[in-house]
Amino acid sequence: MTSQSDGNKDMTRFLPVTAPLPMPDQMIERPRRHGLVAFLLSPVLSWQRPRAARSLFKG
Amino acid sequence: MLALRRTISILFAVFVAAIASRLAMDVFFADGTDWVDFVRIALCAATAAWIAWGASLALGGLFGAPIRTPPRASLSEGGHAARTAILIPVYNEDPRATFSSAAAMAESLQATGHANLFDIAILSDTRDPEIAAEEEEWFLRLHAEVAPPIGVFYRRRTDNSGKKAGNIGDFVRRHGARYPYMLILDADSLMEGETIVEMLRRMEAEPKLGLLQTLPKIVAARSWFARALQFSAGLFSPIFTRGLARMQGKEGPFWGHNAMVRTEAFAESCGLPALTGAPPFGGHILSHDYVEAALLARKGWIVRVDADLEGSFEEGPQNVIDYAKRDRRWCQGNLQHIRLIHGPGLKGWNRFTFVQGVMAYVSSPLWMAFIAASIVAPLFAPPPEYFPSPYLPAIFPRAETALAVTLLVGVGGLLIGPKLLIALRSGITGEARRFGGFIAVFASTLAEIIWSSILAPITLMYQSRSVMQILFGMDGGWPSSDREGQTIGYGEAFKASWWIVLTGIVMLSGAFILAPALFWWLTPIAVPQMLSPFLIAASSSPASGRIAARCGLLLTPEERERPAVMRLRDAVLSRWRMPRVNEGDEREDVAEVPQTGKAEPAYSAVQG
Repeated sequence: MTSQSDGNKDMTRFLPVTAPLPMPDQMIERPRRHGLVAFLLSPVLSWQRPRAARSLFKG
Repeated sequence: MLALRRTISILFAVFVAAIASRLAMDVFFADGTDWVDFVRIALCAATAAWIAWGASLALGGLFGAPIRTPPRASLSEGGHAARTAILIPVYNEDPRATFSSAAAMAESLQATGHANLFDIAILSDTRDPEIAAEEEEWFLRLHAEVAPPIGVFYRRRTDNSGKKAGNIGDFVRRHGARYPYMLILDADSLMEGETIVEMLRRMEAEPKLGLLQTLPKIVAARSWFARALQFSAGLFSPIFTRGLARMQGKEGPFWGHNAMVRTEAFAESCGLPALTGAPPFGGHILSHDYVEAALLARKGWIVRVDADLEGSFEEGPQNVIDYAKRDRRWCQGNLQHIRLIHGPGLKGWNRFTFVQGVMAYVSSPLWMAFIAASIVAPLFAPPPEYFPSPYLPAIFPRAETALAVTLLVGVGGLLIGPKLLIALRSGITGEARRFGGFIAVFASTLAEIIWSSILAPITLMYQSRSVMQILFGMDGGWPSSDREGQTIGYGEAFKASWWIVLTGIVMLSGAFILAPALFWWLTPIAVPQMLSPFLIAASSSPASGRIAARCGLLLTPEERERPAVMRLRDAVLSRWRMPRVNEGDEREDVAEVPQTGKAEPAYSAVQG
């Protein structure tokens, strides 16, 4: 058990000993244009642009 | 065998869809054939298949061979190799409620004789400064409460990247190598120490087991709405889960909490990047648990749900509004999975699980579309031909009422039948005694069926709205859960459901004008919708829950005999309600805990 406190004696956090473990990001989607579902849904998904981006097109 | 079970279940759903389509053809073509009829038949087939799939899970749970108890290892042999971090992610939750659960679980673990294997880490993503301050204050209480050898840790992130999945991932990246196992909980989770140790034994016995999920029972229900949910989860869910367990093989589910993971497996498999594009379909993955289960299976790890594990609890929403808010979040998360169905290397069953998750929400707008198509269908029907042959007398189109009733009874039977069978089974096996006896179980099952039938048209509307919002690009964000729940006033209920009332009125008016034959058929849907403010408000009050309890309805084993860990939590809360003696001294004590010098540099909202 380890603890830390700041200069004012107020406990700010307790943390266990550091023991890093790599957790690489996984590949979860196929590159665009290659996915069948993405292709089929492209009319819907392309319509899902953020509102801000859509407003750009409206000028 | 597994492939056979899956094939039979899928064929059952297809068979039911085919029967429903055949009956629907006879009913809908009675007044002539038009294109709307084909739309209705397709919608009828899709929704019937979905209902049949749910029924097949229940039937699999009811009638399959008993599931053997999995192998267990002796922990004395495993020793410290089985060190486990109990992770409790919090996000603007009530810290007293969450931390008291942590204290109770620690006490429960002490009694197992294996407390030396566990540490508890509160992983805060809280953004509200007031709640963050309360968390630190209540953590002092927790720290004082939990005796060694269980260590208790707390940290708060400055940025909430990755949301809950990012919060867990952050712990794994910084501290994961210290703990071969992690028990992932929710802020409202509560587990018996014996259950946690039993999970550890099962993890130790099967080196390829990457994740072990329990079926949490819903507890602490106060309102009628919550008690119905609690009863349903207590009596019906274990059977459905057993059916699911028989069907899933090694590609089981992860429901995000009350599950133990092998840290090494989780770290190498479950690093989740954000999806390309903007929310709601892109960005951080909201329903990360399903994806993590799929990624573990992709790397060859076993993901399993053990329905026999008791002593795992969670709290549910207390009213319809909170339930709908949670559903909105889950709906967006599940629809996001459309992007992953075609993900690289995933197992077929996991892809199918994504489809099931999508269907769980898309089926609601499909039902609405079916109803709407049925109302407007007469507008598209060809004019009746009374004299198809000049040599025959006039032939009048006839309504196929008997077939329509058959279709309705069939669909209703698939929804209600499994629940009645589960109630019957509880009487035969003696399990009903835990729920107050067979009469109580049977009466409660009938009450639950009636209530869920009344509520279904309302939740149907909320789910349909969620799906439409997401399709129109509206991101629901990451609202915190209101686990305390509130009594909903009539004004508030009307504000949240006026559009459902309007839909009910429009539906009945439309049927009256366009399709009078449908009028009475639609009343079981439209009338609850028109009464939705009343139903939402009335079912949210603790008084409504007390009425059910007084009538002996919707009782659960956990209410009849409070589990040990819940009694421990009650005791902790009663201690915490009392003012602390020498509060200043206690703070000093905490500050004086010897520092090892190995503590990680701080990261919190204070320092960024």
